[in-house]
Order: sequence, then C-alpha cells, then structure tokens
Amino acid sequence: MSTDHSAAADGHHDSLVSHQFNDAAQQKEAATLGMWAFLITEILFFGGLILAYTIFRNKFPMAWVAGGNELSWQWGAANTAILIISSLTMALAVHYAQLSQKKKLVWFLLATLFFGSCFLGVKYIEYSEKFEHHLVPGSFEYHGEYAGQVNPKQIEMFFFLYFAMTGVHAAHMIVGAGILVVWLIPAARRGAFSSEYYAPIEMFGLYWHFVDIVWIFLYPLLYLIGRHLGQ
Amino acid sequence: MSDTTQNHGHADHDDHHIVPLSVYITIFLALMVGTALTVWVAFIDLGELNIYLALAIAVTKASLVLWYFMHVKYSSKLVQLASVMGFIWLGIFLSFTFADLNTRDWQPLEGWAPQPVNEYDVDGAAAHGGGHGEAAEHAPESH
Repeated sequence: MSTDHSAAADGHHDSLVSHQFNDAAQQKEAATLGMWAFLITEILFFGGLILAYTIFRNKFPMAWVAGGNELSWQWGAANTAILIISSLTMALAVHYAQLSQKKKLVWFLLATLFFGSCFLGVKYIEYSEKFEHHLVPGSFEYHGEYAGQVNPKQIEMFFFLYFAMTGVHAAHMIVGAGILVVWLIPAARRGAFSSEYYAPIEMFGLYWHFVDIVWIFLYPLLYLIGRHLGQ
Repeated sequence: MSDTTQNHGHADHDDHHIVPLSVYITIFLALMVGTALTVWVAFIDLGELNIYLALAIAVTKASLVLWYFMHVKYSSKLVQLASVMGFIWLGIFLSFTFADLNTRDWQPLEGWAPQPVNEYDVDGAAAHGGGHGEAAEHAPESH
C-alpha cells in the first residue's frame, strides 16, 4: 500500500491504480486475466464456426474443393502478410508504450490502423468479386471447373460459411480499428500512456493478435484446402 | 498460500520485462516464412496429408503469435494456464463432436440403408449401394 505520501490518498498520483488493487502489478495481472477470459469466449465463438466448417467439409469434400478454388489464394496470401505486418506494428506499439516513447507509440498505432484498413480494403475487393460472380448464398450460381460434378447447393453451403467466418473476422477488425481511432490513438497523443500505465495498449494488443491468429487458421482452411486437386 | 505469493512475485517481476526488438523481428520473419510455406505445400498433392500439414503450420504460427507477440511467455503461470484453456476446451468441443459423427455408421440396424443426400453425392450414399435409388429400394428387401 502506498502510505508514503498523502498525495496518493487524494487519488492524484495513484489515479492510475484503481483503489481495489494493491499495486500496478496486481492491477495489470487482473486486466490480463480478464482479457484472456474474454478471449476464451472468442476462441469458442470462432470454434463453433470452425466446427460447422469441418462437419460440412467431411460431408461434402468435393464441394469444399470446388468452393475453395473459387477464392483468390493470392489476395488471401496478401491479406495474411498484411495482417502479420499489422501484428508486428502492434507488438512494437506495446514495446514503445513500455518504454514511454510517445511518438513511436503513436506512430506504430497509426501503422497498425493503416495495415488493418488495408486488410479490410482487400476483403472489400474479394467480396465484390464474389458478388459479381454470384458466388453469394441466396442468389448463388456456380459455373466453375466442377460444374455438373458437384451439387451447387453444397458449394453454396461452403460460401455461406466463407462469408460467415470471414465476415465475423472482418467485423472484429472493424471493431479493432474503431477502438484505435476513437480511443487509443487520441489517448496516446495526449500522453495518457507510459511505462507506468499502458494496460489499454497491451490489452488491445492481445485482442489484435488474437484476431490475427483466427486469420492464420481461416486462410489455409478456406483458400488452400483444395489447391492440390485443382487446375 | 505460499503458491499465491510466488505467483504474484513472478508476475511482479515479469511485469517490467521488455522484450528485445530482435525477438519481435525474428517472430515476424518466421510468420512470413510460415505463410509462404503453407501456400507452397498447398499446391503439392500429398493426399490426406495436405490438411494435416496446413493445420500443423497454422498451429505453429499461432503458437508463435501467442507465445511472443501476446507475451504469454513472459506472463504469470495463471495467465499461461488461462491462455491455453480456451484451446483445450476447443479441442474437447471438436474431438467429442467427431467421435460422435464418425462412429454413427458403424452398426447399420436391420433394414438400414444409407439415404441418398442428393443426385450428385457420388462418394457418399452411392459408394455403399451402387446407385442411389437402388440402394434405397433394395437394401430393405435383402433382409
């Protein structure tokens, strides 16, 4: 407990540590554990979709090949690289927050926002192509290399899951970008974070890296699964 | 009680752990190499192995992100346990579902015949009986 000076009791100096915590370390431990409790729910949230994906892939293996080969593996690879770069810039943002280097913190948060937006831009291009080619559940048509061999209804199921999984993933990216724009970047510019207090940056980093991990699984599962059989 | 103190001491110490930049750069490069590798092997026909290889690379990449970018390596034992638990529950979720799904066809009941899913489903229902309509019609008669 900070009994060394009365300023702490006024809540000025120690305002960075909420009164229910003994010290900054305990506060940070609680925040990290709480964030992980949230991320566990996220793992199971995406896990439900991955389970649905796997069940239907088991049931309709050729439809999964036909559907996956309609996606652009090049755009997918580009987006994987973009997301990994954004994870690096986010890790560096946390790093410079720990070192109280405000300018570099702001710069790397902006870089993370930039690469996150690039990812969403590529996603927009991909979705547009799918709409143009009627590869969208609801008004679905399939004229690919497996036409006549695979039930288009089953391929439609693949695209339903493709849009559900990548859509929910993109929604997480949009939420992340929103948090950067309305909260973290302005606060970092104000100088709200330092080596004494950077929990919001670190917790947001956990969220951002988690969304990266989801994509690390989505990319091979959706884009690459049938490549060895195609062409 | 001594456990708690120890854990807390651990967290306290690692709270101020600054990871060297070289670690982040190395992990970043490893993730990029992993991405190139997963694309490269996807085009090689390894049969059943393709999916397992793709998943093995994905798990490796995810572990690197988890361990280094998400600082789990430098976190307390409690946080390490929490971070792994979600994936363990996911594993139970997936494996129990497939233990059920993959064993449903083991013991056909009397009069049981695979139901054709649809006319295109050549590798499913047809593989058991020869033709869809036939399989559905003849199987009950044979008993």
